Amino acid sequence: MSLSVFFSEFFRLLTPTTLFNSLWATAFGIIVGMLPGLQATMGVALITGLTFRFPAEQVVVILISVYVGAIYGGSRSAILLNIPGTAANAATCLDGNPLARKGQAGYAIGLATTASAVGTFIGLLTLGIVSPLLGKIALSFKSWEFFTLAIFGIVICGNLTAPKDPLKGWVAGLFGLLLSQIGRDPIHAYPRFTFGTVALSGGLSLIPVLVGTYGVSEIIGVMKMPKAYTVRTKVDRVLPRMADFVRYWKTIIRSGIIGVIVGAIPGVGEDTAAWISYDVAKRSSKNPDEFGRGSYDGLIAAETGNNACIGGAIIPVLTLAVPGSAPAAVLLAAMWLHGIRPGPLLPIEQPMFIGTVTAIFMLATIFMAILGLSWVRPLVKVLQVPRTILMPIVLVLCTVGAYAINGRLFDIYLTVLFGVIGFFMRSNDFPAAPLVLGFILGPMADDNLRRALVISGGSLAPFFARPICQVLWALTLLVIISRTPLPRMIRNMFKRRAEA
Amino acid sequence: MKKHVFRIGMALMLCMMVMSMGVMAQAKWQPRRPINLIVPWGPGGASDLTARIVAAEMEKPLGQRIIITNTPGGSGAIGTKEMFDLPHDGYTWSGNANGSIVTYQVLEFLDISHRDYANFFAMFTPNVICVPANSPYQDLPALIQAMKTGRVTVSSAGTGSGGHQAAEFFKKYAGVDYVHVPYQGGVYAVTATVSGEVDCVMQLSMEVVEMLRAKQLKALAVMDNKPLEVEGVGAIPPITNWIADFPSVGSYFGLFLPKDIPADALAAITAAFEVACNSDTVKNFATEKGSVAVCIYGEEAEAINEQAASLICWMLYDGGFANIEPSQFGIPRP
Amino acid sequence: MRRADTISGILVMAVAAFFGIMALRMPWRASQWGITAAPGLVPLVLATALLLCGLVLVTRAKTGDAHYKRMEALNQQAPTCDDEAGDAAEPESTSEGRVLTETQRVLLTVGLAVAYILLLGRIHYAVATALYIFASIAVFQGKGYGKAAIVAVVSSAVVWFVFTKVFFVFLP
Repeated sequence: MSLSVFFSEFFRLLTPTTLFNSLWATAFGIIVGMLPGLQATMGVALITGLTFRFPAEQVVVILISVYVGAIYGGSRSAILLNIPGTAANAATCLDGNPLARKGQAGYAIGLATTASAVGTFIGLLTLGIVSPLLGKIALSFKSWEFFTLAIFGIVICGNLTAPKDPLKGWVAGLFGLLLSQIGRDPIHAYPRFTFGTVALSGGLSLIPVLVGTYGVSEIIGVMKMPKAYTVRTKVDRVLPRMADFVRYWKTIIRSGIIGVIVGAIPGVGEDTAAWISYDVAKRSSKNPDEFGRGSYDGLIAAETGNNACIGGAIIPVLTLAVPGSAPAAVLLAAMWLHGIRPGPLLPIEQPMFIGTVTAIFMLATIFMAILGLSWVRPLVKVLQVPRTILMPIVLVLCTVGAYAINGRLFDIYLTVLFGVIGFFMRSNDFPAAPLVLGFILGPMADDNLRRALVISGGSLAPFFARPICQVLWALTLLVIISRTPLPRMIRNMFKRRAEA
Repeated sequence: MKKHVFRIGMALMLCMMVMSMGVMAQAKWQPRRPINLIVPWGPGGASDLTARIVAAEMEKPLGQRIIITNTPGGSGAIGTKEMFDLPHDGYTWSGNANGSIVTYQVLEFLDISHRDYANFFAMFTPNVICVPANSPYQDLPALIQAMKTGRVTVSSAGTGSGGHQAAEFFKKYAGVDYVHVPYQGGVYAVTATVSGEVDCVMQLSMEVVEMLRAKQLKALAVMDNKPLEVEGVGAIPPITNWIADFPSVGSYFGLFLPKDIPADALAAITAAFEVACNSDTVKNFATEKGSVAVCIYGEEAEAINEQAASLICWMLYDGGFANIEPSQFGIPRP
Repeated sequence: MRRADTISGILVMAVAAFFGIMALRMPWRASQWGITAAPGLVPLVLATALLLCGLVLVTRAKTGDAHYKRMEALNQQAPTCDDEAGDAAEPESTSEGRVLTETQRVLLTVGLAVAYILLLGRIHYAVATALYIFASIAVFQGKGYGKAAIVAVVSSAVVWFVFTKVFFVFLP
């Protein structure tokens, strides 16, 4: 897609109707994303229902704006309440909330907004320029590659938020993996760990596990403290200092690229993108100890990564008609309903469409940045609502979020159950993130491993012979080795040589 | 004066009685609150899209909104159970395919038989045998020849799914064997074939039509006894050209309600369904998706289900995928 | 933390054993694909790994002095953000009239939540939600019941209205 197409589409979109739609849709997305318990997927789904009779192009404008707004909006509650508004913002809690507690809530929000805007921009740039190419690469991800990718993601668990004690991170991760096995197994449809109930035969749903482990457990934790705390809510500066931002340009570029690539892989979404970006940023940082205590680097990495993923997730939607993430799946369904035919035929039938989508993205990013930066002061006041009032309301929203997406009361019970489990885990220093990540990646690993073995007739050779797999194994090995005393020994060896 | 008042009063009362009788005679079931249409599959799939399109056209005749909830899991069993657990008052429907609902009992997903539904079929999609565009098997005899070795891989949306059923039928009537590779949905099964990870896919026409148009997949045959005309692809030859006694294998997509809803609700819903099926939106959707728009309900639909149940359930049992003999549920051999 | 770790370790091992035993009871050779596609394979591998982790956890809790010394040192040299909050924050002692122990608070929070979710689906959504919010505020604040009631009714009405009338989402 050439630049001229992008510009011409962008200017064509600058009509009052389109601008108005994008504005309210982005605002709606930010609100949905911000409210703990309500997920981006749900926001996009709700609006799809509401806009059924709207003209097709406006629907795409609205849905993409909601999507962008929601993934960004979740950073608000992550920073202010330590509860991620959507799954994609879980990594933002780690550094966003400590910053808020130190009195820098406004600045954290400003950083997150800018990082999200830049991330979305990187995503849309890649979408516009390399869609067809990335589409092809996404297609070359087969069962072997998915499995190796899942292993890579799982191995990162030991590092996440448990820098002092990787063993506990591993326990949480393995527990999450085991939980993901509940349900009918992907090859035989044999019921695993279901105790004969229909309710469990579909497995545990991600939303209740996520909302419970992060949201409800945080609520219990907040209510447990004998004295409520108020955070200094002086908001002196929102717009990030240029220097602060530019200092981390490497993190930004890196997280953007990681986000887009993870997004392009079908079925792996914004949450995984945020975690991988965060982890890589931590590894490459000169001050890894700051991560988890209010590091700007970590915050930027997480928010850039998850927003760049949006652009990436839309690539397989447009080029293959395969969703790159859960909200992208709803977007795809909406497109079909409105007569847009994404897929390999798109470049032939509607060649301008990729340009249009890229331009819509641009619009949404601009509105997101404007709304995000201007809504800071009133929203920081949320922190001043006494916890006795705020927490029950948050719990109600969590239950709504858990119910609305699948319509099962069982999911609400699960949410509270996982709230309790998550709370006890946290009290004993077991981090919550690996549990959720293990839960997300479990099916990917199990599914693809066994299917790959079926295709290769039981042979393990292709796992090590295929190029993408080899790259992923190398990365995995690197991660494992960095956890052992080996690097320290090597470094000490060199130091001794230098001194000698 | 009083006499006049009395007479006018009587006349008015009589008028009112006559009018109300007239109204009662025409009284139609009007839903008083939004209807909950549970689609027990993820958004964007064939059941989901069909349900949404049909429901959109049924809103006007019924004068009430129809709201779609996706409750996926268990090959559609979980959402279906939700529908049956809620009151059978005509306000809760489900959107599914008959190929799925006939299997729930025998696969031990649910203990609800296909005879417990009021069926409304809007769309018929036959299964189509497809291979990647650059496959070494460019026509059906070549594929059959290769499958005699038993090493050809065929993808499907999962064990027991429509694509798997079709593959089992093919195995039986063509006398070959294959390696079944299940995926977590039709979309992924089709993509795997396009990428060449597997050799062949036999999913529904609705799921492969886009890839066929894009020349990423080649259709070798349709599992029906007449060719399938697909806009942009041409006519796909019927499998009966090569295997004369091959049954028609496909799925009917539409709405499935509990059978024991109130009679007036059933009548109103049927009427609205007819309106929807005759609408251009639904007909265009069918052509776009390489399917055939139909309008089948009541006894006709039940007869189709009986046939499908016989064929599919016994095939699943003989293939070792179902552990309970279908005759235990009163399903005779085909 | 040492004693807590011993208990956690044992719990972890119990969970692992539970999953492992159930995995072993699944069919292993019953299909055309052989053992590699057995439904219990991956769960068994995971359960074994978890069991080992649990074992290490318990062993370390009993004998790993070096580890706990390192933890102490790390905790002292770099204060966590909770401690920082203690300095930077002003404890809000005025609006909460009740003084409860931590355990009581946890039990109350969870108990109220459980009561709420059990009510859902049995009585009208807005009523259940209003009751829960009111009860929660009242229990923890111990005063200001009037304001609590207003907040409860208004917020549950708003949630109910927005979701059912604007978005047409079914609430329990």
